[in-house]
Amino acid sequence: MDKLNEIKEKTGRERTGVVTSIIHIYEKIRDWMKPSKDQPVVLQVVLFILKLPILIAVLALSPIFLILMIIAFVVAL
Amino acid sequence: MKKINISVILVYISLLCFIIHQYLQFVIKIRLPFIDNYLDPALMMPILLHAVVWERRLLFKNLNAGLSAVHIFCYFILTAFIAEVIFPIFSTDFTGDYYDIISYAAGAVAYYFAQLITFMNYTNNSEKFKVWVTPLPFLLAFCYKG
Repeated sequence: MDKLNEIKEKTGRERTGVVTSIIHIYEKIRDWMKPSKDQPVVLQVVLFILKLPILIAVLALSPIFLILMIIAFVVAL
Repeated sequence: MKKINISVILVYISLLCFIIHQYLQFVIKIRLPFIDNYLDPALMMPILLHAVVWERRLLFKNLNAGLSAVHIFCYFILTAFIAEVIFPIFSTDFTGDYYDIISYAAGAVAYYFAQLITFMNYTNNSEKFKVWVTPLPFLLAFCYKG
């Protein structure tokens, strides 16, 4: 809840709950993807590779990306 | 020194080249096999990546938002997978040509460097460029900058 309020304060304006939640989830995933500086470099790289499919799946949810790929599919037919 | 947004210029050039190529290919009927096969994938990447950047700027209300190297890499993997594996499944008009992956990579790398130069231009920070060019610091830069 504090994080959501922080996002609202940062943007300086009222947003719909959906947009605020999307930003909140995105920032959670981004923080989860960041490796811990306490870990050795090799472990950071291995964890990064293991987390990569999830990051790709999240990035695939971008509406603009999906729309452009659909347009590319339709135009190329 | 006037600040130039290289990534926007790259996108406009990509769009212009795409339109000219489509005109040459389908209106004038000029056949250039190599260009016809591999130019469009390379041109698509800067346009796609900049559209995603625009979406992020709109969503996060941050005019300085960009794509990190890791995100550009992920979008490259995603685009190559969808275009070369998924599309051929849905339609026989598509053929999975793995050389297209090189084209996608070229477009993604071009956009990455255009964004980097724009960043350097806007922040007058040329030192970071030397760090990002070599592979290992490139990875570490993700680790510590996200």
